[in-house]
Amino acid sequence: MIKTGFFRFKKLGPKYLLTNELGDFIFLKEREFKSFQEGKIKPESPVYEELDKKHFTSQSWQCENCQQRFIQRYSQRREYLSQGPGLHIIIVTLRCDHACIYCHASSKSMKRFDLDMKRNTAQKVVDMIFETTSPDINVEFQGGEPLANFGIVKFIINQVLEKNKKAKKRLRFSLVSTMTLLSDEKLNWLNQKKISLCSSLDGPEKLHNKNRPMLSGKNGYLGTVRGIKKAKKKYKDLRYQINALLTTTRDSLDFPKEIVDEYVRLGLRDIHLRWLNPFGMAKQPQKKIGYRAEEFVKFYKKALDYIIKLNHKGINIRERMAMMITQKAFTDNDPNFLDLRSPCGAGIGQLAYHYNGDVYTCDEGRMLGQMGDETFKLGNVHKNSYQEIISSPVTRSLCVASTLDGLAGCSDCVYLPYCGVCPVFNYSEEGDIFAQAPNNFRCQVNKSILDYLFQKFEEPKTLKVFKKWLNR
Amino acid sequence: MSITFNKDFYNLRAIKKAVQVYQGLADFEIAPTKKSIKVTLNNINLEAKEFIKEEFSNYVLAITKQ
Amino acid sequence: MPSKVISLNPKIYPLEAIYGACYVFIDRAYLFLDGDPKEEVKVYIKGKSNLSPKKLEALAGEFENELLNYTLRLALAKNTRKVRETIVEKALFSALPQEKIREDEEVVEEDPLGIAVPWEEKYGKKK
Repeated sequence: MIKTGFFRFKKLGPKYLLTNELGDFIFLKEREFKSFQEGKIKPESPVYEELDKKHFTSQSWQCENCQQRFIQRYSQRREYLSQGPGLHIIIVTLRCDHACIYCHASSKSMKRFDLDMKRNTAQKVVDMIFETTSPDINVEFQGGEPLANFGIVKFIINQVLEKNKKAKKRLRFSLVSTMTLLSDEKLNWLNQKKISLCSSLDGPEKLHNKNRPMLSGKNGYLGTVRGIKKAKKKYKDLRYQINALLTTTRDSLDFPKEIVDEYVRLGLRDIHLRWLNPFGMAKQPQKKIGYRAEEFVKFYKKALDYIIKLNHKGINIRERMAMMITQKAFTDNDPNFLDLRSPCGAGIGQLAYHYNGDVYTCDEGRMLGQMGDETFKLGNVHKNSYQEIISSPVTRSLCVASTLDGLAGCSDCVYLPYCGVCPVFNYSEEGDIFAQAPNNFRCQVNKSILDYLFQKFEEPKTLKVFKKWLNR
Repeated sequence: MSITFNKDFYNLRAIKKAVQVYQGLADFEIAPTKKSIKVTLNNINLEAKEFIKEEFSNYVLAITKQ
Repeated sequence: MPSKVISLNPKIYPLEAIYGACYVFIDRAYLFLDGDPKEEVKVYIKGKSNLSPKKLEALAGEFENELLNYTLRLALAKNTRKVRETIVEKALFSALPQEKIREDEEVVEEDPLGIAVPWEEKYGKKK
């Protein structure tokens, strides 16, 4: 009689999807699944061979080197647990020339210079960043509009580069900007320092401007597109890409194809089909611009199908969520996307530094702080040490609340090896950092997308596209 | 007015703590027996009369849980 | 004010879960426990304002849902304790600077009574 190893499962379409702790997966027909459960699969059968190869049989765990190898694989998949905060989000100002309808940053008037990060705070932020135990440091500038306080951006970058001469960390910089304030001078400097740029692009002109109006009444889309094109031209010789982020609102749902076409038209390599987060200004108009989980998933599927179709025609555009799940399912190298790992990155994978030096568990926690709820504030760079920040009970609580193995609804979910929860989102929506999984919007979206992607993995031509994305 | 707390669910320590907090609203007498703890409330503050029994019981339950 | 009695089988709903669910509802309802913790636990539930029978029924239903929630989470916490603790410890430990951990470990008290000396060293046969 064949003994089964540990697995989680779910019925997906006519088949059963099984996953295990190593992130391996297999599809079984109903009859095969029943035989497997009953220990009646014949050892000479092809399905047994696959089950054994993918470590679903108890026997596959018992060879001499197996356990050591599996421990290694398990550790590799969770390598991020061995590192402290690598992503450091710095909000250099709250001033912004846009008034986006879903704005998370609760942006303020361009005249409010009191909302700029000052030099002494910036210095303290840099000092704290270098206390991290992570060998990688990724500094991400956000706002408001970070280009509005470019002096401090330059100061921080220079300070980080100087400090790193001794620290020798692997450094990355990125700046998230509307691009409308991107002068040639700034672009030259950023290019010289090899700073990745990321903008926001919500789709064709009308849709983009509806979501992201400028305070001056000017055409924000034109400014952003001009900035993206200028930056792409300047960065042509560097491997640093210009990226853009999409925020999906209710108005976006009818235009999946048009949005993708816009990204293709501008030569952008990646698109991340992101749902609307409920933080910041978005909370109040949420009823107007928000949607149900199934509505977003419908949009996602249409957009992804179209992206796959374009890839078959030789147009190389990648969808980030699909790419990350492919990486998690087919390799042991986790992409370390902080929203989609267990535990999440709050406090242990990332820190967010507000313009006034307040330190938060993550950008989502900071956005909640902007709304008047300081639950996820860990301290301030002027008052607290790195140890105090990291040892905060808030950090510990979020770590526990996002470790899927202990969460109701997640611990027995077939997608545990690939998924993640956001306790800040749960708190914002349900008043509890522990989610009530079945009713949770994120869970509903993630589960539906994962259902869809795993079914796509069964299509050889589509899988070839997804795997190609990992190689670029 | 009296409340009889089942010792299988409530403990004397929690009741005494609750009495300390509520002592401004009434005079409390605690009488433990083998299976229960009877708490008698006298000279109840007029404003508290309507809800004191339930609120006091809730408070004891909360402390018991903690 | 009207109240409802919820009768619970302690073999299905551990007492800890019952306390937990009550705690969650303390700001919304008046709750009182009685019965036999081995056979039948009775939860008396009453709204903080005068509730209609329908609303009282709904309140009781929500309480029962919370009770199920608590029972599941308790079982899960028990069953996954080791793996959870390992993961969380690793994550938090790795984020702390090693110098700080070494500093904490190096705070070794002096040992005038020789408590830290192994027995064999103190009293073992001389080789």
